[in-house]
Amino acid sequence: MGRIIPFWRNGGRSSAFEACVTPHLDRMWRLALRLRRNPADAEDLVQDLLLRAWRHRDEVLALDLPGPWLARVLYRLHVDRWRRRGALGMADSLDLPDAPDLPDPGSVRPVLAAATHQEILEAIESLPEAQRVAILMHDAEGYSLEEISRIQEVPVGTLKSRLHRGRAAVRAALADGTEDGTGSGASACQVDEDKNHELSDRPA
Amino acid sequence: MNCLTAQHDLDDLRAGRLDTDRAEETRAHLETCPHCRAYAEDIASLKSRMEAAPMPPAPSDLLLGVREASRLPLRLALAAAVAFLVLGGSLVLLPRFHWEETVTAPVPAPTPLAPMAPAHPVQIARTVVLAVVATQDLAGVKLRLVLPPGAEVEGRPGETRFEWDDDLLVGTNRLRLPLLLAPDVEGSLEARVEHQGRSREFRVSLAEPDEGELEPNRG
Repeated sequence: MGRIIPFWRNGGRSSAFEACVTPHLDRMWRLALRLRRNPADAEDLVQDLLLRAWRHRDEVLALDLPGPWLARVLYRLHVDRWRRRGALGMADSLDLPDAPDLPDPGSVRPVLAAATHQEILEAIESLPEAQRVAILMHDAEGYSLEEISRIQEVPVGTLKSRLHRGRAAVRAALADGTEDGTGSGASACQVDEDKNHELSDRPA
Repeated sequence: MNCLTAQHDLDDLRAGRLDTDRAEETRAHLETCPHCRAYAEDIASLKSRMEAAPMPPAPSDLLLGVREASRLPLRLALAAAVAFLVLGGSLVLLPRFHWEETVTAPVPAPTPLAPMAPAHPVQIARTVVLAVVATQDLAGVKLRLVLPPGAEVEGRPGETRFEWDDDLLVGTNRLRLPLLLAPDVEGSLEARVEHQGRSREFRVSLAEPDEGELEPNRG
């Protein structure tokens, strides 16, 4: 029986695995940095991701598009860490389940243009975790709502609510103290309770 | 349309995912509502500012852990090999090494009227086949090739050492090596096959092809 050893094509499974994941390393690194906030923790997260991918290399190598698999596992590993922090009593809830999703009644003028990047970052970092992650994945890293929905395993409507509440909170934080302030035009907005949006979050 | 719906629609509007009527309705709302218009401008700013912000580059050794992990089973296999040998299992590697064919490129005859070196170094193309006979299917076999100076694998210039893992099936497993050899190549091609702590090594001179099978060195 025997076989032809494919020396030229892939140089073995180890090389094939590296060829498979390497094109995604930069995006995984950026996402890990966003999620973990600092390079040391981000590197730890990506290393864990790659080791897990290596253990499931037969599954990964069989995928036409390994990127979504890698992003989903990276997100789960982040949530695992976040929850372990919560187990120590230092974490808030992943989201604010009782918070209604209301129209942003903020400033009638744009407020981000006058803010520094650091001020914007600080406003995002102060958000509840689910809103923070939604903004970072969608607005900073460019994942579509459908991609994030598959990665986080939550409905697109839930993500829209998180994004909206997070963005409104960022605007409010940056407008705070300015001449416009926040809520100055609340009466001009029609409030429509969004009953279709599930606010709680239980990522896998 | 109310403000909340308009603000929720912004991402779909930007992505072109709203149908024509809904898109028109959302645009019309934005034109008449300064709050939602300011919200939309800020969301656009948020995206552009975040996307443009510099990020620390990825460390160059992110795959180091995987490379170490990929070698771990081999170390474990080496540790387990003693017990295997003591038990006298039937797993045997019978590697053989032989020339399958030889193709020699034309080598210009030296002439006293042309003392200068040729513009391009002459190389001899030769295909070598390494045949590894396995008495049963073998997973995770480690293969290593080391080329002597003056020899290279076609398409892989400058590389003299190759290592990789692969699986062998029962029977003869053939590895074809298209080599490019300098006319004055010296030294030997070294090949090593290792599985669960058992190994075979070969050293074959590339200076003069040998049509017969070569006796492997014990690894």
